[in-house]
Parts: sequence; C-alpha cells; structure tokens
Amino acid sequence: MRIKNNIFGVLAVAILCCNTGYCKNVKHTLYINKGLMKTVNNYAQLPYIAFNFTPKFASANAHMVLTVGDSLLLTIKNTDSQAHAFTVQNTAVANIAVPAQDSVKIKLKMNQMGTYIFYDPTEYPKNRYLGLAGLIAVDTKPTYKSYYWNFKEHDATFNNQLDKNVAVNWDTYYPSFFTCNSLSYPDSGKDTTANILGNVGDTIHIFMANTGQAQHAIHFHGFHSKIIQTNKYKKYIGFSKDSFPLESMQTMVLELVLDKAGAYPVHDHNLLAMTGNKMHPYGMMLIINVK
Amino acid sequence: MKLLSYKYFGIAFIAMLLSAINFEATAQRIYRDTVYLQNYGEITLWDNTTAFLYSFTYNEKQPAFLPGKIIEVEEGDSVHIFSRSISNDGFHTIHLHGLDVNTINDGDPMTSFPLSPYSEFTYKFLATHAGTFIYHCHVGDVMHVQMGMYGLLIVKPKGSKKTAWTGGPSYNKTYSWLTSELDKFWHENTPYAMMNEFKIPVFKPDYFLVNGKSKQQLSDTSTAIVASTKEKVYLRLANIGFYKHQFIFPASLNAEVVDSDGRPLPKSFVADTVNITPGERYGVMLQSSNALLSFVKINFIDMFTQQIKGTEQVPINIVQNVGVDDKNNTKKMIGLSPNPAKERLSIHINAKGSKNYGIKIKDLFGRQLMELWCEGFESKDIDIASLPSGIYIAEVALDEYTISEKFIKE
Repeated sequence: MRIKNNIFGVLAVAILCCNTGYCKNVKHTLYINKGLMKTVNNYAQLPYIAFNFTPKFASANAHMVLTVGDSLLLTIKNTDSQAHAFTVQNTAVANIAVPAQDSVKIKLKMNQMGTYIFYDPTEYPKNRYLGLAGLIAVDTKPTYKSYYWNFKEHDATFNNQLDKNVAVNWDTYYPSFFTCNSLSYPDSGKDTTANILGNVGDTIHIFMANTGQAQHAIHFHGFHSKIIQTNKYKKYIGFSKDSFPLESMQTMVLELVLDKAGAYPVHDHNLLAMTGNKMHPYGMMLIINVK
Repeated sequence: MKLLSYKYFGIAFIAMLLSAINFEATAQRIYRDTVYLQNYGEITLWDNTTAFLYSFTYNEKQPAFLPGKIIEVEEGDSVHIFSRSISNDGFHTIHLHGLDVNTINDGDPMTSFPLSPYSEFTYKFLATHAGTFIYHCHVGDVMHVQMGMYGLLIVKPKGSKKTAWTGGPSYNKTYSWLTSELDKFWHENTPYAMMNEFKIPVFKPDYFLVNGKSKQQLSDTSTAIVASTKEKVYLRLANIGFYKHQFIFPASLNAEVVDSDGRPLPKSFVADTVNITPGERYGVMLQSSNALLSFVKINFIDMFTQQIKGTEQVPINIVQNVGVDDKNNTKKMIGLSPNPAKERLSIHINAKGSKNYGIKIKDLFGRQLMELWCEGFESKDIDIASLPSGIYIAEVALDEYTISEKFIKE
C-alpha cells in the first residue's frame, strides 16, 4: 500500500511538473577528458580523468540539474585514447560502451527526485576512482535554491599506480587529499555551487554524493538538516541530523532551513579528512553563510 | 583564511547579539558551569602505561580527565559555560557539537574566534532539544580532539524526567558511552602550539576507548551496564573518534534505536548492530526479559579501508528480577557487605551444614581474579583493596551448588 502511495506520489509530482510546464528536454554533452588534478597548495598533481562540459580538462566533474519528469538527452564524447563506459546509478543506463575517440547518445527520463551518480564502471573501481564520476540533481520543482556536493578523497600513490595500470591494494588505502567538487579548503570556500549563501528563512536543497572510495562523516555546524532522499539505507529518510555518514557511492538530498544568520562550517568529522598532504587544515570543508 | 574569518564574523556579529538577547528572555533558568582548557595532563591506560593529554578540567588544580565530565542541563535552560584557557601556549575553543548555536558561540576558530592563553569567554546557548551532544576543542581540530579535549553534553527533558525526550519513551537507568581511539605516537609527538598550519602523522591508533577506558577498565560502574529484567536502560552512544564504531548488541537485549543527534527518529527501529560514524550520536533502549551476562561488542572500523582495527567489549549484566520469596531465600544463602566495598568485603554464608567453601572473585568478563578455599566459617573477610574499581562477581561454591552475587568495588 505504501509502495503504491509512493508511486502515486511520484507520478503525481511528475504530472504536476509537466502540467505546469516544468518538464523539458535537457541537453548536455559530456567530454571524457584526461589530465592532472592540482591539489591544494600545489602539493601534488594527480593523474585524473573527468566528465566535463567542454573538451578542455577540468578536475571538477560536471553536474547536471533537472526537474522530476525531465528527459536528459546526453552526448558523451570520449577524448581519451582508452575505451570507457557510462552508467547512471539506479537507472536503466548501465555500462554503455564509449569507445576511444568516439561518442554515444543517451536519453534518460528522470521520474524521481534524488541525486544520481553517473560514472565509468570500467575496471571498477579504477576509472571511477580516477575521477570519472559526477552527479545529476533531480528536484521536485526548479524553484528551490540548490547546492551540489561531490565528495571524494585521493591517495596520490594510488592515482599514480592506477594510471600506469599497476595493481593497488585497497586494504592499504590512506588518502591524503579530501575534496568537494575537486577542491580542498580554502579553495573549496570559493566554489559558489557548493558554499551556501542565503538569507534567514531560506529553504535549501543540497544534492550530495560520495564518489570516492572511503566513507565520510559529514557534520554541519549551526544546523540540523533533514534527509529527504538517499539511495542507501532508506530508513534514514526523514531523520533530522547534524552529523551523518556518506558511504562510497551513496547519495543524499538534504533539506536545510536557514533559521539564523552567521557563518557555519560543514566538514568531514573524520577529522583526518581536515588535512591536505597531512597538513591541517587543507581538507574537506565548506561554509554556510547566512545573512 | 584570516580574511575569510573576519568577513564571516562581521556578517554574523549583530545577529548574534540579537539572538543572544532573545534566548535570555525566553529561557526558564540559567545553568552555569566552568570549564578550564589546558594543554597538559595524563591518562593511565588499561596496560598501566600513561599517555600525555590536552584536557578539559573543572577547577584550575584538577588532574586531567579523559573524556571531560558529562555536562548535564535541562531542556529550556539558558546555558552559560564560563571557559578559561590555562594553557601557557597555544589556542583552544569549545565547539558545542550538534547544539546549533550561533556563530559567536560555535567555537570554530575560523568562523568565530579562539581563546588565547589565559583568556576567558562565556559560551551561551539555549538548550532547545533534549538529547546527546558533544563538546570539543575545534582548534587544530584533528590534533586537539585526538589529544583528549572532548566530553558529552546531555540535555535532559524538562524536570529531568526519565524519558529520552519530553513525551518520549521512558527508562529506569541510563548509561552514556563516548567512544574514541588513541594513537600513542601522536600523544608523544604533539606540536605544542597549534593554530594554523601543522603536519599530522599517519593515524594508527593502539587504544580503543569507551569513556576513556578499554579492556578490563570497562567493568567500571559508570560504563558496564547492570540492570534487572524489569528495568529499561537508555544507552546514549556518541562517537568522537576518527573511525566508524560498530556496536553489536546481544539479540536478547532487544536494542531499539529511538533518537539520533538530539532529535527523535520519525520511527524507532530494532537493530542488533548500530554503526556510528564520527560526530554522530544515537539513543538506544535496551531491555531483556531473561537474565543475561554478556557483552556489547564494539568494532572500531577504519573509514578508508572498512577494516576492523580494534574491538572492545563492554560487560552487560541483566539479573532476573526475583520475587520477595526468592530474594529472601537468596539472602539466606549468601550475603555480601558492605556493598559497595572499598578495601574489605565480608562474605556471609548461611548454608547450615555446609563445611567446605570455594570462593572465587571474577570480573564481568568471567576472568578469575582471586580464589580462596575455606572450611567451616559463616563469615569471611576478603582483602579487595588491590582490585580496580568496578563491578565484580563473588562466586561461592558450596558442597553441592554454586551461588553468585555481584558487588561493587569503589
């Protein structure tokens, strides 16, 4: 009965969105680009691959924003000399081959609110770990103020070995760079798609994903937020939390009501992640700024 | 980074003053406490080695605690925590983790400010929700937390009612476990003063802590759970470590998770395994319908590799709730006094006709610590001064049967 109600709810939202003119075709081209990711303070340059909106490499993966009921018309162009593949987590789009220097087209209708990770499943988790993982944000209506957090951690030795097709032992994984949208603090503080800037009374939706290999523990200063969607551990939906885990390949949508002014950090409370190259405080941190 | 701090501070400052005035006006009572912040201290670990600490203390001459004391307030209280750094070097703060305080009282040095040596500040907030929270230093956070600057802050429902929250499930007894890890290398190689940039070693914890204790120390009366089958136990769990902590409860305890991070869950759930990542808190109701002498197993799991790096077991002893007649019968057979005892424990045997008595003293892990063999006595004094404080079991073997009774060593 509950499942029926949920399906009915999703359909109702989809119909409502389409009737109000929200439903649309969203076209994007994603380029698979290979390059070097610059870490905080130029401590290191890591071999990296990313999905970008242009043929020019950028370490931050693209994120795409849709409304429930929208169709995503996607062209994926592989600029790499290696073959890749394309999957959108929790959808029918799975393991679509993208040959080297070739392209494919994909159409995908997004019928449910949530954060969806798109990634390369080739030699899993190698290519996803090396950077090929971004997020799709699907909201119930396009009027919410939204922010996008793609968390990831990086072990320089692992990046170098995997790039040279040398096997790694994940049991020895000890990352030393921790990023949101490919940036560590203080650089992450300049990312307007991630750092919340709002006014008292605003309701914010945060679309987040962990595309790294490790588990993270996200902590909000100043606020509790409500988990309104997640792809794992559904019992968490409805929880009001200030600290919560985000497993590898887990996604969430949070609803945050800004009830007071001020500046409030958000960071990984595995405090080892508050470092870069083992130096404090160059790690996984953002700022909520409320006027 | 400093520029950022000033910018955020400026934006927030006026609103902070206004909200401070506002919550003072609506609060029912003012709860006051004092916390001293120091970068020296020492803790004795389970293997009788010591580790250097930073710590919170509650008067200037107190020895260090790990963790800091539990600060208990009531829902609706206006809480004033007077804080004074008595460190002769370096900076500290108190971050009120999960209490959703305003920027000036938040204790993050980047967005509010740090306490320099011998400076003072009174952190103020309104305790809006009953629940389990943490206070910890946020300066050089990864290092100062590892060095021991953390404690629990519990907001009880109004009137300190024995419910998880106002209108929430009731309980008879409550315990709080604040879990963490300790890497002794870090404690022996700590940069003395830290505010901005500093390098940290690889984290390889060698001690896994529940309320600052491990191994046999966990039979301590403040940590080991002792209750009867008629009692419901409310267990507050909080993780201030850098690992995920996995609590595995015996199935017969019917562990029911009811709240998290100071908020009731939309719907409670029963689970024999509860995973808690750094910074999270959970409230769990426990009750067994049968007597149980067992453990809650805690796995300490590396967040990077998902490997278990350490395991601890906290004793749990649920005794059958006996009727008046049964109780009288038990009393007739064996009696322990005083209980709790400090140095000597008297065991009174009332089994007429029995001539030989074997007495074993065991800890809650079942490990035998003392053994005596006696003949023809009705009362025997045992020297227990050498036992660490905690809960123990005196097991008296009579001619044909064995009787066990618990006692507390203070």
